[in-house]
Amino acid sequence: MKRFIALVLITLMMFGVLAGCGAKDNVQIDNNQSSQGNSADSTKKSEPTKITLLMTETGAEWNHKDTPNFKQIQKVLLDKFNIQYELETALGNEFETTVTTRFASGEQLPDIVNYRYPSEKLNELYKNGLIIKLNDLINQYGPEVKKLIKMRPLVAVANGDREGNILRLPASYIENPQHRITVLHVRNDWLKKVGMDGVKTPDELYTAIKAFQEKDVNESGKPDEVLTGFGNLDFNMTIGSAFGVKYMVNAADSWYTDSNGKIYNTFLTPETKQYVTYMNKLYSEKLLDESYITQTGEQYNEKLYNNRIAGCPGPWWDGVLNSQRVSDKGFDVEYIPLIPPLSATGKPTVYLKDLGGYGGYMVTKDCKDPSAAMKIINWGYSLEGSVMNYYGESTLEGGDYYKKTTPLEGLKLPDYSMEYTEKGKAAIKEEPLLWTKMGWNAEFSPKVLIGNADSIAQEFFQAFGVEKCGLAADVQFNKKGLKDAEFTYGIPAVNFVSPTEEQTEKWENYTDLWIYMDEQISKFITSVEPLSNWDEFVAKCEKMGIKDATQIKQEQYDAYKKIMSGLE
Amino acid sequence: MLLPTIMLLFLFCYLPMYGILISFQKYKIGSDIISISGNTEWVGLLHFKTFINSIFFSRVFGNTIRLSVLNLIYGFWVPIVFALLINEIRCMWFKKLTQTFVYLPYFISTVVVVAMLMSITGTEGAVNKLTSLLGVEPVNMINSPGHFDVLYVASNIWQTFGYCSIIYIAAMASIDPTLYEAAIVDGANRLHKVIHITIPGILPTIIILLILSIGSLLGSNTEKILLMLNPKIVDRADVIGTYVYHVGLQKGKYSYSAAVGLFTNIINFILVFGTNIISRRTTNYSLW
Repeated sequence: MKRFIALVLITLMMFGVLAGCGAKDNVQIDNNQSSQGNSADSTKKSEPTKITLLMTETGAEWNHKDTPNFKQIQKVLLDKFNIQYELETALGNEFETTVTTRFASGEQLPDIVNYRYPSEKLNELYKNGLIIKLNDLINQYGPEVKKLIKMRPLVAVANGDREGNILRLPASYIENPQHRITVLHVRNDWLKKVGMDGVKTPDELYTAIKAFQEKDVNESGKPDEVLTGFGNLDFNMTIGSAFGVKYMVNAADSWYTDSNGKIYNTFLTPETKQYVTYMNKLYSEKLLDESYITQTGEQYNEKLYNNRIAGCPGPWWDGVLNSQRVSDKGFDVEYIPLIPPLSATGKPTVYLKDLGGYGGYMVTKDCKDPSAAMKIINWGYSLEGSVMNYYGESTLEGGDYYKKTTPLEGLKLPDYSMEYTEKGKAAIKEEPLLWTKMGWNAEFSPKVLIGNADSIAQEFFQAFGVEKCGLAADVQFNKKGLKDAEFTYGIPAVNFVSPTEEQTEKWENYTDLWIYMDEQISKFITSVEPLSNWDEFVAKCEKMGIKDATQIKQEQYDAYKKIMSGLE
Repeated sequence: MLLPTIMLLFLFCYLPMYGILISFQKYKIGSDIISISGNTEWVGLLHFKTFINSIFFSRVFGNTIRLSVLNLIYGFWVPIVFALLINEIRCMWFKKLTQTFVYLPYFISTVVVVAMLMSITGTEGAVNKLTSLLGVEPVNMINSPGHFDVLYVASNIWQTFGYCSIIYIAAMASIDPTLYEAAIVDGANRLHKVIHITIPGILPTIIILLILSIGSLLGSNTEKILLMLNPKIVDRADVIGTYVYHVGLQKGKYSYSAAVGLFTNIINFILVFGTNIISRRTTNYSLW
């Protein structure tokens, strides 16, 4: 009897386990759902349509879905479109692995995934039926999307395939110098202490940091003032560009073009060698933080709050934010952005980030209602949606934290421009990470903001105030500095169309090559590999097929130029 | 009554093995592993050849073997010696207290262990503070290729020796006590009893665990190495597990990483098989 009962229970358990492993959902994807109607909010269903977005989590104290702005956006989407909008998140540093594994499983995918895959991966997802093309949805439900594409055809080219299928849409399309430029920030108060008036060249930067250590400007009793950051990428943009390095991210994506339109990989140029030699010098003399490649946010903050950071690369506003954070710990601090950027060649440059947009909303095959997904994106691209995402305010007149901007003299601002109210100013002073806490400018809903240097100058100065920021908050400095940075020094990124299937297959053979190149650059900088082996490094890359890889990119670039010349 | 066990084993251990077929395909995410319509692209041993011809093969293979052998040489005997020592303790409360404390590190998460390592061995850490008193210049050991082996092996031993000694303690408990009594009568001291009774008594257990350890020679504590990995030590620390993670999961080359995993498992199986045969012929003890 006992055996019989045990057998029955075990059999039930086995069936339960099998059911849990589950059959696939039978999901019907119908792009021509006429029941949705044409207007955004005319049709109400009794049950809200549930749409889930998978995106990164910042790892900050506040999760996206708990922020007031996300809850507000949820309410708006429910009221307007009868859509129950939900989030699934994963931490940023592991997000690619998480989302790729989800796609590989092929089952129970979220409705929308926000991730900017390279174009060959995007194509692969589409060809294997894991994501759907968006053209029909845009035509039926996306007037705001159509407006953006008409204004900026690159959005369609950079987010689609060669056949003209649009496979994703940017989560953020912000055409603003602030979001396109990374600059190097240095301690202006320390420069004054050592008798230097600004830093214009890499040699001056070296001299400055050396002087900071020799004169012990932070009075710690040891030479611990350092240049630091999070890996090579930001240094490539700010110090690499000083040597004429054009576009250097990871090896597989570091391509630029010469004046004849010939594509080359930026890792192997003489300019990169000069840059790497310089970085190695900084590293060997302990002027560059030895843990800059691997440090965590906590380790960075520890250095910041212990008044050790002589300089760091970052977005435009980073220096001011750091100034404020360190000042709150009792130090009198002024970080300033280096504009014009450093230059060893006499021609300062910064390279501008890709104008195809940030992030990428992909609608997956398991989306229960693709038209609902497109309505969310379309609403996000509207002025109302973009303002709510960026400022958290429900009208252009503002509310609790923001109000309509009164432009400073001589500035012409976009329609959506807002400034802090007194409550907003107090709040940002108390909590420098207020934006994260409130869920402002997060990618859980998309936005399109076409701005200008004037709007950034306005926001910058009014957010932080001149007494905290000194030179960096000066309106004219900002306006001129940003305009200078983008329009005088800015060099645009190079874009490519998606690869063919044959090219994608060939590209698989180069995985070892990219890993090797990425590792070697870090090894040269950190003295694990002597710089005398540079020629050997270049020769090995050629042996591993860099020339063939360059040919593939050349064809993609030529095809891109052809498409863009047809569109323009 | 064996039926449920067999069913569980079949469902969770054997049935998923069909996924290993992607090692012989050019698998694309979202496509079927076995396609009736014939869309599957079979490539035979291509991925195995690619791995063996890869410039990283000698590095990852060599590092994996080196770290496993070091773990074996320095780590295998520690739980045995500890078990022998614990077995000799007569004060029960002290014995239990010691056992409790040495088991605890096993349950600390790998992430916490690596964070502790980074903190202790960093330039401002306790180790460097001690060595600087002796006039030695501080070294950030976690970034130092020369220190990686020591940190990895020592932290592995610290974490696992207590827990692994449980098996040996259990084996010692099964030794007939009358043997010890007879030894006392014959005038044996503690050392004689350990050498002539305890160690021979647990020898089958030692041999079986040695066979299993050799069988996982191409495995390694991938999670720990992944957390410790950085460009400065990558030549010393990159193992098969971390290579599979970077290439397979991060770069999405599932077929290739499955092939690498299968390659490793085949070699491990050959090692277990071979060691088992040698052990059976030399010592009469074996797994099967």
